[in-house]
Amino acid sequence: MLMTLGLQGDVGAYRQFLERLGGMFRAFFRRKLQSSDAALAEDLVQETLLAIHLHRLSYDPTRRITAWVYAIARYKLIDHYRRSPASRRFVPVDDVDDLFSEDEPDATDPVRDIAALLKHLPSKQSVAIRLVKLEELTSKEAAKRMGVSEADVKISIHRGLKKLMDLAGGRDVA
Amino acid sequence: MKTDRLIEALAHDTGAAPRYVAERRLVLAGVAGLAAAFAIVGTVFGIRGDFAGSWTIVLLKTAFGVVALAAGLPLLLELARPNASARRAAAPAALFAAASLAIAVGAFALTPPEARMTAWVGGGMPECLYRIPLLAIPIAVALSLAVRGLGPTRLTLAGAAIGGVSGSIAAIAYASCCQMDSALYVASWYLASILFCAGVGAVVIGRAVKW
Repeated sequence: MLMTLGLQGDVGAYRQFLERLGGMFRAFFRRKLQSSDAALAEDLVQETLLAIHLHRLSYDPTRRITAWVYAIARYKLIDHYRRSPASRRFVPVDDVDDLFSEDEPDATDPVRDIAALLKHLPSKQSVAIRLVKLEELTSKEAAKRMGVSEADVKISIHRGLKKLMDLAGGRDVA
Repeated sequence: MKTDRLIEALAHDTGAAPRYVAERRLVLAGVAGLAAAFAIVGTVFGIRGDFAGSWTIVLLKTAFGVVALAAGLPLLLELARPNASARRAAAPAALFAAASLAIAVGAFALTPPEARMTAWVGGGMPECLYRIPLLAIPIAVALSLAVRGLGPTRLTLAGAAIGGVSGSIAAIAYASCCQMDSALYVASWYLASILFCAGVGAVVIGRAVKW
């Protein structure tokens, strides 16, 4: 409707039409480019508006305007891809695993949390805690495996836990 | 923002737009191309000698080209400008190709076996296979220039449509010099020539009309 008025020479209607298109295309290009490069999207918006203006005479008023303007916008998008193949971010299939794996440990996983904290303890204490508290051996089994006395294991756990609690900022890690 | 200034500038660069611009430009280019094709037929190929006595058959063969043109024109009009879908406009062209093929098969069946080869290929290679595409070249150039300014967005399909329509117009002109009068010949080789033009058009013209 606005386009038709614009084609009849109505400056106000035509400006309104172009402004509305500008908003539509901005959203369209940002979505399609999936990048935060707002300047690039804006460039394409302007190119598309210009193309619409230059080809306005080929618009047939009996047809739907949306299909017509989006055909031009899509053409400009494809044109952009052709001009700058680097903007096509192809992800080789081999790399897909990396994209979806989580490098960051899950913050709610207590075992990982403790494992990280255990690194700060002397090895005797950390091994004792790992065996008894995480792998749920008895202190006797742990002592046998570590080659120390049962009392030594208990003391190591006690001291280690105390240190862990300090490290974790008072959280109860046991 | 800069976009606002662009919009302002564009808004003032308007004026009452003439209607049917696409149609007019295409018709103009087509007529110019047809005139060029007739000129080539008249000067290079030569009008058939018995033209005066065989005008009914010449008219029939010209009609074949006219029908082909009419079938391809909606598709060209559709693809010449920004476009999302051309499926419906392709129906007449597809229908024409199917009908032409049916005529060729029917004529083949009706022709007595011993006369088939003469009716089908005449003496050696059918000349229209290279003459129609040759005649189509100036027409295709004119049409491409017209289409390019209209902003086609599906370039390969637009190129094929330009090629097919150029071939059809070329067939109209070629009918005046073609010596082969059998329906089998016209329905098969004229169709093949037009399809060949469409195929070449898809590859070559599709690139030429990029804007």
